[in-house]
Amino acid sequence: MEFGEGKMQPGELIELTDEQKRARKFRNIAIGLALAFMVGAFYYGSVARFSSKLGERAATVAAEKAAADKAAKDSN
Amino acid sequence: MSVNENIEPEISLAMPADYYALMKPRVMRLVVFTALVGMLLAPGSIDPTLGVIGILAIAIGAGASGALNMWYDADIDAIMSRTVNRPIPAGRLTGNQALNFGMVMSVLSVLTLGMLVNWVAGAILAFTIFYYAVFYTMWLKRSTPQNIVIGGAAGAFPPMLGWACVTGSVSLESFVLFAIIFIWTPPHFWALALWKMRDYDDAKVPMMPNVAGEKSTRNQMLAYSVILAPLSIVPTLMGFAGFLVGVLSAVLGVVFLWLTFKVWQNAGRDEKLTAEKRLFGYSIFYLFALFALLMIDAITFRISGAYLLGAF
Repeated sequence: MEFGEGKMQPGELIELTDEQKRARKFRNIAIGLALAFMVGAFYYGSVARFSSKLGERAATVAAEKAAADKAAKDSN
Repeated sequence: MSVNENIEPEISLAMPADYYALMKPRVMRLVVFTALVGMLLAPGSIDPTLGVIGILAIAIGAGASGALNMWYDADIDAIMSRTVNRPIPAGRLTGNQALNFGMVMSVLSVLTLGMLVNWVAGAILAFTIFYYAVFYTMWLKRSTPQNIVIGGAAGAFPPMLGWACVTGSVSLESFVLFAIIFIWTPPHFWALALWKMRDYDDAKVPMMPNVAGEKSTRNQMLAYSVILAPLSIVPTLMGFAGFLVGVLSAVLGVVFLWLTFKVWQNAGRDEKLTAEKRLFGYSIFYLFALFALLMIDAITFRISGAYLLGAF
């Protein structure tokens, strides 16, 4: 790279070579895909966690209701 | 003084494949496989989505510890023929890039496993990364010939991690899976070290053959194999694998013992070290075959409610 005598001066800009631009593009794509994958993983992972807890909760509520109904019926 | 005054600009040419290579993909595949077996063998069930996320988090955690290992060991890697083409010694990545990547991936993998699966598994993953990157890489590897014996525990944690993902705890069965890999590591690694002695000597890594000598190493390899052979059938004896798997595991263990015996017997007789190379190749097959058998048995049990040829 040629910046004066190989040293950058204040205010100078770096001109990327084609190879550097290509590497940066591929790195950006990889980071983008990784982030999108992480968002998906947390979204679907959270849904999976909630749905299993909701299932447990529904089963508990149903069992409690059945027990309460049975107790009410027995007392009558 | 201006920030960029007198500074040579360093623009990275690193490609995503270089970062992937930092994660030691072959080790990562073994980690994924053994963690999956641990997950399938564990009693109970896990939501398939969370199971896949758990395995991926474990794989990324293992890859992160590999990246941290490559960052710290770049000086050694540049000397040894086996590792000279790794991204840092080959000049495709800088040490700082590897360190940053390893740290970010470590944190992300532990948080993901903890938040989405459970914190027991998350804590074990964090401990595994610390154990491999700090305890083994920074301390044991360069200071004692027992480096891969103690450090081998890091590679033995994945089935325990898989187990913990399902149960939220560790149990004796998961310790047995841990023990199989832990006891397998020394004869596996020392078979390699016996024919790569000069490399390790040049890099000043105190491997057992270089420090204690070849004879002592072969004696110790045989001792570990004597323990490993019966350990192979413990899953069947403890009831979390079936009779057929027990028989086949016993055969695998006996062949391992026989090949190690040949290494011990042929000491100094074969300059090409054929027995050592054969044992190294077989040791990889042994671990893969044993865990594949356990996986097939676990799947059979989950589908039909019985192990292959029944329980012991």
